[in-house]
Amino acid sequence: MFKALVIDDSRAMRTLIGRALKSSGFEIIEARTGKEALQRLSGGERPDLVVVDWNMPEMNGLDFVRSVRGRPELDAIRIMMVTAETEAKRIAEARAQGVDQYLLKPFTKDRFLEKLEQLKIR
Amino acid sequence: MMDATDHHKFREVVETVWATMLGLRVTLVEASAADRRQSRFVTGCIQVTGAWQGAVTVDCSGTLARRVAAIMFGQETTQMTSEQVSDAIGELTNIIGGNLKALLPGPSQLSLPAVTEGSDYFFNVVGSRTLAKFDFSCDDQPFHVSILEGR
Repeated sequence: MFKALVIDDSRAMRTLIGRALKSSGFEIIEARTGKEALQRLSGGERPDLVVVDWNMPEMNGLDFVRSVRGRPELDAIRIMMVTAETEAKRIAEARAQGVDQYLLKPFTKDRFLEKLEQLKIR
Repeated sequence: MMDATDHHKFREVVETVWATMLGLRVTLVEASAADRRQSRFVTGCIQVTGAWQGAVTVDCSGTLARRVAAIMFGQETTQMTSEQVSDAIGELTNIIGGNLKALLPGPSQLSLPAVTEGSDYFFNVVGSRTLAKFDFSCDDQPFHVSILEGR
């Protein structure tokens, strides 16, 4: 079974994304901030996919992505950013830092699964 | 200054967010001040800083807020706790704020959302003026979205 780490400070959003991932056969682990997610990765968690929000307390999504992409042992992890951050310049910045897929909120479950499929994890 | 086109775009953002995230249809209505004073309401607020300074507020009846939370959490309305309602309205405010920000001068950043719940309260973002206010109804439950511009 593939594993996904869902990082969002909103429990509602983690639940919603988790439901979509479970329907696609993923095992879900959750974190409320980028900092908490990094602690999980440092503790040995190795998800196949990270779904991360941008705007979060303590450590935002972009800083989290920078940290992950700075660690070669985490290279295999695919990263999807799901956010209400709509500015083209910021989307380009996220891509440049190593985000593999970018999905704007609001989204439907079908749109989320379409983006997930494009990552070709399976 | 905001023209009719901007007004229409702002309104479309709200309608799209509700339809896409929640599968709910909303209708623009005349505001009822009496409803606002007599009912329990939940208000989410998010600040925008940068080239444009201001805030976006989402204010909805407690009944509607619980329905929104239930949809997002995939549970029954009666199972929703205040914490879940606050979380869901905060996230909805974040999404609406992020999409409205795209229509305002940039670059700018969003704050984290803040949420308050109660009855007969007045919510004010100090030092701002109302750029636009939309009064909606969803299944006969009121909700309002305001764009407040810093002075």
